[in-house]
Amino acid sequence: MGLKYQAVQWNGNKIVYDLCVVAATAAFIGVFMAIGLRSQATGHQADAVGLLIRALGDAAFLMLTITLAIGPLARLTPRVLPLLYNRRHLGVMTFLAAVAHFALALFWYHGGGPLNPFVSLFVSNPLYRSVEGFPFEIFGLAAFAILFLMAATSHDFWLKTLSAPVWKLLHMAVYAAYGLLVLHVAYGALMTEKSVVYPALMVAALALVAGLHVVAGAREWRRDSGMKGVHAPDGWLDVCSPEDIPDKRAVIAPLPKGDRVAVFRDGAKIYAVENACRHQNGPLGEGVIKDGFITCPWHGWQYRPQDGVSPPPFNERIATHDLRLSSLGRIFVRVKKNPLGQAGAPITIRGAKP
Amino acid sequence: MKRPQRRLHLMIWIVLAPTIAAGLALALWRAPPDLSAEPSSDLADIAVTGEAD
Repeated sequence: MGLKYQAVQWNGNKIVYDLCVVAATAAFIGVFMAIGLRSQATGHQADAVGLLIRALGDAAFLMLTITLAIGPLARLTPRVLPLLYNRRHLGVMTFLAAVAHFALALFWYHGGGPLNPFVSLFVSNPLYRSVEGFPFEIFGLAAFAILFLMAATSHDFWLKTLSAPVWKLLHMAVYAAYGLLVLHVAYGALMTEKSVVYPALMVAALALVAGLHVVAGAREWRRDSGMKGVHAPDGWLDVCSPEDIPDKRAVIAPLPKGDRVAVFRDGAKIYAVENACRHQNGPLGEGVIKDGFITCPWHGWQYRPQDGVSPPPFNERIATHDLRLSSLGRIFVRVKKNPLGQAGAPITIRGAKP
Repeated sequence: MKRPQRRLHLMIWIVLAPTIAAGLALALWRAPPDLSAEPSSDLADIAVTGEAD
């Protein structure tokens, strides 16, 4: 959170997560190399460096596929939310594998001639008008440039400097990078691939990532379209009954102008805050109240439910909404947000455990 | 995410997914035949004699 910036705010869970990712990546590369060397040894002379380059590339592609699948999966099922919390670390690991793949390929295949390796990358294969002979390295280079930009701006300093909407827009370029990587593999490794397993895996990976994003996006679109029917003529919106809200959790309700409000219950008290986290516009209403604070499911940013202010020493603030309980026991939320830092009028439920 | 961001996100994938799929399909369609298959008799002659007929 925003008081000062640290490279990574480590905790036990993050260290265990990162160690698991490193171990899984090393195991993937090891198994890939072992299988590759074994099958090559029966035919041609084993090309260990070529295999390592491919293993690193495949590891990076696999990690990027998982990274891109986590977001929409978390929209579809909350069980994936713990993975979302550390998604950025997986992204950084993807970039590190991509760096190793790129550097090794550049100097192994383009470093031995009289030309500068970067020049050689562009001119060694001039078949730019061919389909089957197209210099697939160009796709990889373009994807690498995007991943580099992502990694360079992944820090919260850039998030704060660029603002969350601009930063998110910039980081959506990772989808283009994924497309370029699919083409990099398709016009490279798949052109000489004998087995159908590799092409089948590539098609499955693309179908998974694209399918999840379209399904999750369409669901959100339908939700947003449903908001058009929301009317609040007197400025108050009927949201739900108190018993509809699980303790320490929220019900998310659409507001007339397309925003959403999260109505949280903490024991006998009910509070309403805007649904977008200050960090990356994460859906606060899908989070929980932890240690008395609304905790964003994406990266754990916290806000006091009473006034939307982050706990000291942090200083982020989200807007609250006033609430009232109707005589029929329905919760009404005031559509107009309160000024930042102003406490909303909460509801106390009689008979509920505090 | 806010609504414009959510909609942009979906639009990107609606455009991007078919584009990538088309590129992938073209590559798979135009991929050369399996080079590991048995060599043709002409290729075998070249390998043995060093020249083609």
